[in-house]
Amino acid sequence: MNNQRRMYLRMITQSFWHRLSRVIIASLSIAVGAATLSGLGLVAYTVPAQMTKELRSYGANFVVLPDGSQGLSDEQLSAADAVVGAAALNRAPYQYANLLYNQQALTVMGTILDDALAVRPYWEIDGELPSGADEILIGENVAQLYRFQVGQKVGLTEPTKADGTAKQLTVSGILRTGGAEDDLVVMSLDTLKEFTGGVSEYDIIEYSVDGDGATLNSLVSEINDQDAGMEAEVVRRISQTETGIAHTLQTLIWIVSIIICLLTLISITATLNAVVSERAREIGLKKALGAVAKDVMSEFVGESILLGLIGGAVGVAAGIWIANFISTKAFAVQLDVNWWVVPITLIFSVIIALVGSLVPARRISRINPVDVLGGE
Amino acid sequence: MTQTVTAQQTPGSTLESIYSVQGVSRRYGELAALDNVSLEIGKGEWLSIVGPSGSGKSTLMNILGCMDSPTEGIVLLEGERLDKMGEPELANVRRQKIGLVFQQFHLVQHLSAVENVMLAQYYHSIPDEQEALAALERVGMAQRATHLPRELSGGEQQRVCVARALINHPDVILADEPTGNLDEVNEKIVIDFFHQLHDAGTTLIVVTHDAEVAAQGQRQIILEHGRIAREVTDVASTPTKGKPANGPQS
Repeated sequence: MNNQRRMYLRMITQSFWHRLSRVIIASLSIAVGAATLSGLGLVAYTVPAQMTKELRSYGANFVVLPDGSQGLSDEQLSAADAVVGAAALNRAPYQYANLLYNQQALTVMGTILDDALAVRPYWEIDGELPSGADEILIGENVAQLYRFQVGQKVGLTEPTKADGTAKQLTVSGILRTGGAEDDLVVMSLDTLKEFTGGVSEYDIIEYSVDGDGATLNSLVSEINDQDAGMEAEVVRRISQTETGIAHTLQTLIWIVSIIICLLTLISITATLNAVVSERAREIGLKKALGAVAKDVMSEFVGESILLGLIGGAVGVAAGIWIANFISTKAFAVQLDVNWWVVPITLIFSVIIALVGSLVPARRISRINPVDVLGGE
Repeated sequence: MTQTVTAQQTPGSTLESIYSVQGVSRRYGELAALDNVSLEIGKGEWLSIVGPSGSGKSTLMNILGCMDSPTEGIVLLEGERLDKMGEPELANVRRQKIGLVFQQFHLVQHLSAVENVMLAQYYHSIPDEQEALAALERVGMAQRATHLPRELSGGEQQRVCVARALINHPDVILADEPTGNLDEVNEKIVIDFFHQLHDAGTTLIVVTHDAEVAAQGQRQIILEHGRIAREVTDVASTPTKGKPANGPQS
């Protein structure tokens, strides 16, 4: 570092420490702005993402149904998977059938059990998920009606079979959902095939899609436009909740950001104006020693950058804390901090400090040494 | 009518002018702080400018120091017309040719003594701490180099101000009431130092109320109501210390 640059840094740092109270006030102005913006930014962009994950626990937000009386084939399942692609967080196909237990009709849902549990994470199972083709889950209401218990053998029959021989299956768990599944018998697709004769015809495919309303609507159009015997639908109650939260928060952050920017600018400009007034004699002296306005302004800009960095650093730390507080207390979600917020906030703070110093810097150029150094 | 006062020839000096002031006026609306002043100042000369408050001493000083421009007239410094220059050119002349000493010292309060001296180097060329320390050594302030202005007495601050004025080896030292805030001991230190600078060939222009300080110069001009009222070249008749320099007869 050459002597000129070293002296420049020496001057701006010495000036900084000499006016610590002013520096603290100016830094606080920037810190408050930076904290609010970084905090709200994190909330606005992290909470909807977290809420999406949380809302996945309420079930699928996108379904594909057969367009007609025929069920969906494996080919149609693959075609739907291809359209949804990487946006699918989880996917499960379901096939429904009616079986008999002691001549009583039971509705049975066949599915890929691990996938179904991923799409419907709200399932509570007393016992275990079926691990073999001879195990089933019994919905809570069915279990109560027929007094089924975990470990019990249940004989099920396909109603159209002439011989009426029941296949004995073991209850691995009782399923509690508070929903329609409580009235069902749930088994793997392979187990169900043993009753339906090896035909897979899915009645519905459920997807948990990572995306907002626009993404989901686009997927609906894409599948429906294929005219492949499939009809896609968005589960409105889930997707609209997500979109609503994201939209509300993002609108809020824009409004508050603009207000905070203006307030911070006004505050920093007022503080730096006061600093220029306090330092008019020093500025006049420097000009008397041969400095031109540009020299003095470059020192002032250097101090403003330092001010922005300090205010921004304090602000972003406070902002992360605020965002975490708001997320946990107001939205009950754990904040997932995106560390890009740190450089972005620092850059924002420096820009605010620089813009805030424009008006005071213009005053520097107008200071005349004769006016401030006195004389007769 | 323009009144021209010429440079005083001293033993070993020439009549070559460093400053030529020709019919200079400085008006603020209707008020003329300087009114048609003409003056020649020789290279290496020690000129004292005296006069009562409001006589135009500081206005003349500001114009000579390139901090103000006349509303009328011509000012030449080493042949260059200052009255035609804009602010950047005037700032360059201040940097390169002029050292300023103020009554109020005007040290930057958050910089140490040596940093205040380096400040003048910073705007002139390249700061050199060793050179700045040497300048403080010359004024007997090397031991206080790292002290802030508030930790120094008035006399010490003025010596730092003098070190700052001479650090860039200016052609001219302009001093505005340099001893106005000093006690007798410090006044003597500063005046002795001015004598050293003058002996080394530096042009000194000193504005003062103090007759004894004014008498140190080779020549005095007495301003009244913005005009040069008299000129005194007889420096032998030095008035008593502290007596106002109200214009001995030329």
